[in-house]
Amino acid sequence: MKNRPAELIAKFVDEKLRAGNKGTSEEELEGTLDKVLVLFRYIQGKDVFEAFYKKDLAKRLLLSKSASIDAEKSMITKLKTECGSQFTNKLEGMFKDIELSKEINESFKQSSQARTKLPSGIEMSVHVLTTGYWPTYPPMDVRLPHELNVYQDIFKEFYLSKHSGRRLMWQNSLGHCVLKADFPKGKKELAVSLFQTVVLMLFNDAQNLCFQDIKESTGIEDKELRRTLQSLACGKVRVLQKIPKGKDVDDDDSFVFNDQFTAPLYRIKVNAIQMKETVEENTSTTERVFQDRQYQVDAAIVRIMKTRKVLSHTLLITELFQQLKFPIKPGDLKKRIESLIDREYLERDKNNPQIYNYLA
Amino acid sequence: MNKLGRGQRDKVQQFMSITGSSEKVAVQALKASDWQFEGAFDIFYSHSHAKSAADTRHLEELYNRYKDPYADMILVDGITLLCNDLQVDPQDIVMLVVSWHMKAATMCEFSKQEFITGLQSLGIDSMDKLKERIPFMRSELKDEQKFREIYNYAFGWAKEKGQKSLALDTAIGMWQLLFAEKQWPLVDHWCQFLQARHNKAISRDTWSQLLEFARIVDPALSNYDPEGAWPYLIDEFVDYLTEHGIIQKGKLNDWSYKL
Repeated sequence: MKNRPAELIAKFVDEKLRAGNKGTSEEELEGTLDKVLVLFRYIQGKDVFEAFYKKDLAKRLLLSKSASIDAEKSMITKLKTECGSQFTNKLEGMFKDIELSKEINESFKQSSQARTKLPSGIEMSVHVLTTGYWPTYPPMDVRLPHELNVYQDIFKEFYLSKHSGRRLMWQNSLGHCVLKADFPKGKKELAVSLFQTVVLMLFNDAQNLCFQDIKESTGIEDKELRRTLQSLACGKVRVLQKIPKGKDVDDDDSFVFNDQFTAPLYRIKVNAIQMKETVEENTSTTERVFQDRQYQVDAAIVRIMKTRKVLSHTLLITELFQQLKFPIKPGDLKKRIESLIDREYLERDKNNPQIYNYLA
Repeated sequence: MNKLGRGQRDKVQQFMSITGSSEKVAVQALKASDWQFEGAFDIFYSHSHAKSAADTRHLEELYNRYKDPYADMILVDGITLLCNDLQVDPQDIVMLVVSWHMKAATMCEFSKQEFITGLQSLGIDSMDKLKERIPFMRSELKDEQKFREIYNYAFGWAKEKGQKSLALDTAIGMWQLLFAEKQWPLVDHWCQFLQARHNKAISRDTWSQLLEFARIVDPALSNYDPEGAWPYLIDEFVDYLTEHGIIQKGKLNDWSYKL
């Protein structure tokens, strides 16, 4: 596939910009990014690059995994000089969201709502993300524990009092938490996902729960819940025990709090089980890119015809090839032109079918 | 009459026999059109008779003969009866020409308005007159300009109401009918190609461009430009012809079909 290089370059940049890459100095990193950009110039599917780059950037920003915000911004500037601001608008928007979120969280903490109404013992920080800038995440349902619900509602009230007319939607699948856990053999802090949290908090009030109970009380989607339970009871860090033992989660399995749990460190990260991310996510990212291309072709045709009003087929095709940033066959352009004729954006000239007229 | 040359006199005679007009009318029409038949017929049929404003009440009686018992329209049964009266096969392409003249929106249907104003503008107030007009209408298909108008009209006429494009089966049927009239040697290949490769409805653009293709591009495709603005379906058809060895380097190999 033609877009493979674009994808791999995006992945390489992600690796370089991610934290834990401590060995390299700022100058070395800059040098590497400049070399990447030379390669970038030669790839044809720049939109494929953008889609993968954006997905990885989102992860770095939301999980604070970025090695250096300066390096991030320098990369964006390089892309901007290369492809124009249209290409980087959304990426820059993501940085803006992160910065604004910091301010919002600060003023929320100072607000009267937060000081009078918040349940004690919980700290929360919220990222407010603009739809359209970020990759799309499928919404996932979950029934939150009461304390978290209260927290969300108070934040929402605060936010909407400052920005009326906006709509806030919680992306539960992106949430993560740090929990204090009292194991008989020692206190621990667990770094977990929001879904893992919701499951673990059920065990505050119960010793033993079966799969169906957990499913009912959490409202987490079946597959997602199985993955979550697997990560808590079958992974490296087993804070729960599954009965009977085994790798997979079955309908009639039950789970108990692991009172024998020990670990050398105080702070423990319980890794979520990764979905077969590379295959599924990858194809959906690619599919979305191809979908987007169709809209981009349509938009480019309409844009050109709107300024030119009348244009011959050959000239239209030439202009399209200049404007579009990805490889496309002339036949596919024709299909889009014909579709626009069908939808009455264009018509063929009555006297010369080689000429298109723009229909306002 | 004496001033007319012999050729002109023959034309007047012919004109009178086709239209059933008086000699005076025939001479007027032919003179006005520089002694060209086509123009003279147009003048004769569009002007002289339209003015004589066929009696509406009479037309209404005619309409009621064919009207559907359950709807204020002429539907399939009415059309069948109409064709019977005209002694024309309902499948005959001339029915398309009749519909075109009457500006009928949909195949196998005439609204009351279409039927009455249609006949009025044709200057026709009886079935006999319409029947007399049939041979002339058939001859109109030979006129390139008129054929194109009728061809393009046929798309809207044949498609299902409310649909944007024309169902493939209907389109193929219409093409076979129309290109039997205006001979295009590739029509059977075109239909086979569509069934094998396309199998979807036909857009108005593809419909109208196909006639241009048949008109402009010679059957050996020697003047076909792959960079041109032909709809992609036509480009794919050309690829198909080359792939199947029907066309080779500007030569049409298989002349065995209907010539």
